[in-house]
Amino acid sequence: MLTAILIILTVFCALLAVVSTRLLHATLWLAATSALVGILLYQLGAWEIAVIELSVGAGLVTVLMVFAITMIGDPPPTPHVSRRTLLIFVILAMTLIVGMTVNSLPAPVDVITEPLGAVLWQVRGLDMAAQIVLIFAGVLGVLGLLSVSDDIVRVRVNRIEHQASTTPLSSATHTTQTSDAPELSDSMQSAPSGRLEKEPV
Amino acid sequence: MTDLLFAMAVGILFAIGVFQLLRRDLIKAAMGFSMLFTAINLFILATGAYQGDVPPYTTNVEAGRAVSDPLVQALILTAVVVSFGSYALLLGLINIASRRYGSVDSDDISDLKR
Repeated sequence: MLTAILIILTVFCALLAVVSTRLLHATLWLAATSALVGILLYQLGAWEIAVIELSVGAGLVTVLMVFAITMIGDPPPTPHVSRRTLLIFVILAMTLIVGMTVNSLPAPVDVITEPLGAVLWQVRGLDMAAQIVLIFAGVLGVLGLLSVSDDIVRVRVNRIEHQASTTPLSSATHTTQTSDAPELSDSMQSAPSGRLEKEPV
Repeated sequence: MTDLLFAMAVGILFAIGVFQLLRRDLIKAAMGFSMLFTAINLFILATGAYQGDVPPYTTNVEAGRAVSDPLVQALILTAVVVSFGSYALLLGLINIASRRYGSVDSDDISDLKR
């Protein structure tokens, strides 16, 4: 009974995450979905996975999401999803497909009966090593991506300088450069001023 | 009955994830990505958990009771961490796209059409 209530609540929160017009509200409903899925995992006997789902799914992902919304900005509320009929059909189709798949799955033949810790660190030791490498690669990738905005400006400025140095100075090039200038104005404002002052030729 | 409930929950979560993934707003698409990962993890665990009636942590298992396969949970543990890393990378990419194009609407990012 408790499992049924949890499942209904999970689906309800997931639907509200779709229907919410504000991104922040949708993020909170998504966090509630992850938290309820974590409780469901606990019900299934996967305690460690439940803790990880709670901390990562409901915690870290939500923090990342709020951070991204803060950086990008919450856009004005969008109108409600107009394709509700389509959503209902998609939900019905996926439910049928997954239901049929679950009922027709064969039982595993070779079941490992060792404790989870032994399986995790011995049988799947390579997975754990790859996991650690992936975490560091992800962190480095995100740090690199977040600091790339100045590089974009630098590439654009170098391109303009290259164009200015390769094309002959004439009235036609002047008009080209002046037409390029408004396009770059937004990105130039965020760049260091010393690098951009030498751009006009 | 519980199998059916879990199948329905996974199916609905999967459908909502796919629906969100196809939205024009890139942030909502990222939310769909996260929901899809949650549905997949729940699916794998729901199919693997019922093979035994004792969780794989306990050491004193009564005679005649089957222990669940711990490999499923070990793989889900990896999947949760990998999904978090890829989700962070996805949000970083969306941040870069919003800075470069001034919008998170995939239709407004006109360079994708070229």
